[in-house]
Amino acid sequence: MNILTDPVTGDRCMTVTHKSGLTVCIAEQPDFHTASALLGVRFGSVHRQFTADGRSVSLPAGTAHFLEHKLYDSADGDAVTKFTRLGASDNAYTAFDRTVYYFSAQQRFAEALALLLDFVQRPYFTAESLEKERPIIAQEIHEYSLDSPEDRIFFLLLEGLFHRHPVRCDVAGTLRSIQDITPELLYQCHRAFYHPSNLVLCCAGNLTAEEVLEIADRTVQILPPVQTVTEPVREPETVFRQEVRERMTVSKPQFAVGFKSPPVTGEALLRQTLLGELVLDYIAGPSSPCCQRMLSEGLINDTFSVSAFTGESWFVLMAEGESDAPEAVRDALTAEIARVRREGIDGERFAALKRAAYGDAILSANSPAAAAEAMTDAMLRRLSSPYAVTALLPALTAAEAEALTAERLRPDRVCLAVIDPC
Amino acid sequence: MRLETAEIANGVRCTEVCDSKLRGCLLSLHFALRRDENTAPVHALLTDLLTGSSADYPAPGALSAQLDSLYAADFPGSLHLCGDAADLYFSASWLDDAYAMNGESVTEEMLSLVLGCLLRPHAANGAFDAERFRICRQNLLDDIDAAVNDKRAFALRRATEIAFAGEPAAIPPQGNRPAAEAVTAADCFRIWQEVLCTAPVDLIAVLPAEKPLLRERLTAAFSGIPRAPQSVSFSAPSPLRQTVQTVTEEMDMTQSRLILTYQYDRAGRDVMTLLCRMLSGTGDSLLFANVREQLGLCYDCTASFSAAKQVLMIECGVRPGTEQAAEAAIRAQITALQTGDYPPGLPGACKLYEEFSAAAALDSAGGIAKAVSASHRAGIPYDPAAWLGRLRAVTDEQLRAAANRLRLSAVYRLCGTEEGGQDAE
Repeated sequence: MNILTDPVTGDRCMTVTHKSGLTVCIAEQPDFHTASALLGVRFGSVHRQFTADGRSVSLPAGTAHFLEHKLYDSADGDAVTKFTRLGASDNAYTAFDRTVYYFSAQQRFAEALALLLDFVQRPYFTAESLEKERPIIAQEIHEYSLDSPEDRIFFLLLEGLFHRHPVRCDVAGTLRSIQDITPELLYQCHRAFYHPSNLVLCCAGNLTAEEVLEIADRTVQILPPVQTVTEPVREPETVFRQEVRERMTVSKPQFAVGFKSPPVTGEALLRQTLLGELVLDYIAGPSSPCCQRMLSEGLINDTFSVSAFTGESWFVLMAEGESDAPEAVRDALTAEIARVRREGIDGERFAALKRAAYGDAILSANSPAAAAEAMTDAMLRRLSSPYAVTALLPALTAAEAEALTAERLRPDRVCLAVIDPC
Repeated sequence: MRLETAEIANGVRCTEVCDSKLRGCLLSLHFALRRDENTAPVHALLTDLLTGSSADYPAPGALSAQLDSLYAADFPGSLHLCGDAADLYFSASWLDDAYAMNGESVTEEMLSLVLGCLLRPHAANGAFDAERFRICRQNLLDDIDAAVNDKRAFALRRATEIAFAGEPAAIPPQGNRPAAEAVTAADCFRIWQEVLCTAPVDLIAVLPAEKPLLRERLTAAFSGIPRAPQSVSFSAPSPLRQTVQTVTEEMDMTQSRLILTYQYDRAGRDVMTLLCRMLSGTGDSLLFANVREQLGLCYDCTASFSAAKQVLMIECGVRPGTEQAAEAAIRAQITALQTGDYPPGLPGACKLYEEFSAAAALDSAGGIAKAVSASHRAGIPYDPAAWLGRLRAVTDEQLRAAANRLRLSAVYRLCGTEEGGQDAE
């Protein structure tokens, strides 16, 4: 057992490796009215090729997401209905590198936690239920992937940046790829990735560590180890296309500008992501002269934003928004990056942006659901602590930010994605 | 949690909620407004004009820079339409002083910033700054044009226009383009001065600990305004429609959207909250269990209601060509509510879920502020225990009676024109 403490807020949590291999992280927050539990799995949409117990498997796009939908089924009814009867609010999501099942409850937390641990460990996939699910997921793909310019521009950018990395495929898959998913495939994935040693359970709120550990002891199965090796992604450092375009029903061109750079892992990924966010805010955030100039010139409007999109095998710094002249926005951004590279980073502005990141970190985990989410993210990434951000921030320097600007915002690693109006 | 409400100036109510588990402070300032075609775009512009610069921070980006240096403090403006009126509100949030790195008073700095923005805007000679106004109006026009981008929001907006035709509620939040193009910087400044003097004001502060400075500053600021408040009602039920308005439109998209609007009368907020929850939002809910899970007609099918307009709306996204089947399936769920043909445990499960929702609202500053302002807009004091008591007392007979008073008033179909041949990887 390990007790971790936030150096600023004094928040505490305990981490335990359960005898099954499950990582458990618990924060007791008796002042809150509710409690939240998240069960995270290191299996997401980018895990498309793997070897488990000597057998090599290739997955159609959208398999992790499909599995998430179907895991709620059981022989005696679906878990969603059971959560409802316990007064718990439950949901799940699949991301590029993970799947997370979660709920929040007020009164019957212990029963809901037992249910969460139980249904995730007991797959029940039938050909009939998969057939019923396909049209539902197809409608999800239509709604979020095909008809939403906001989602579409993001994936269009990834299609332009990456040659073959599975991150360029939509998390939900395609209308065609979901036809190839079978019960056998889902069972295979469950065996390979849902072993307790590949899961993290994070609970926060009005609960006790004792009750969480007791429920884990009662419900988590002790399984023989599984040797699952995910195939490493062989992605060139260059961008696949410098410009990609398509058309949709939109009011004016939607654009995204992305800078691709080599991935890093572990604590280095957290540090580089934080720095990347600070540098983007410095260059083109709302308080930057560059952003204000583009607004004044009518190049962008208030939909413009910057963000870091990073994972263990990809690193992208990006800007997106609406513009009648997306190429001019890209040029303005690259010109500003070149200026910052020449003139360096102003220490005072950088310090103000660090203060903003510090405030964000403290405020963002001030509820059971948010605290449990932060703990899950840290445990899935195998970070030393969910409080790593507040510990790291004071140590970040302007010199490091300058180095990142030079290395990760290269003019030859940029892609412009545009959705033009029909 | 401690809650205290007082009138601090003529027509200005201030509610302070203190809860020691919070690390941040939140102050939301609500102005209740009547709206029409001409004022709607002005109200939308004010959310931007008053939060991007001020007399104290006139330079582009200066206000954002100050918010950055105040530990990611935030000060957005928003509009919430309720009935035929609008709630124009500004929501300031900041880190509690206890966490400031250098012992500075973030609260004092933020109060100065917020009150400066609202009472000393970036304006001269009776008009907002011309350059700032030009940028904000362009943002607004882009936003109005962008309605077509989000297909779900577009369909909801069209359904609202059809269901409330001829009423202020039919005017979109940002107003319509011709009215927005005609607005001037002087119009905005004049209307803002009128709002400050005449709008009923509801101030809600959610804090980790008492901050006498906050009450002092707010009282001083609003006492200095020559207030003559005019009453604004958020309750404006639509006249009962005699015929069902059915409108079908097409758009180049891969999915169709379907929205059914039902009118009701003589049903309390408590009964409608449960009825709505029985339709969507939980695993047992009829739309989720039957229209999605059983029939596989959609991914998303949700119900919501407006007590102010006395309508219940159901919306979903379906495959082109299955609109009729989805409509029939949705109507069958209403029939099930009317006849009591639903799982016997459903109302109880929905009550339990609402208890959780009420408790969850108390676990964040934003949740508390939202719940308090919703109660105030409904004309009742915020009292979660009383609310839960009313919910628990709702009977199956009341639910069936309310369901039987639902009258379909409008059907809106936004039909997709292609199935979508997406297969790229």
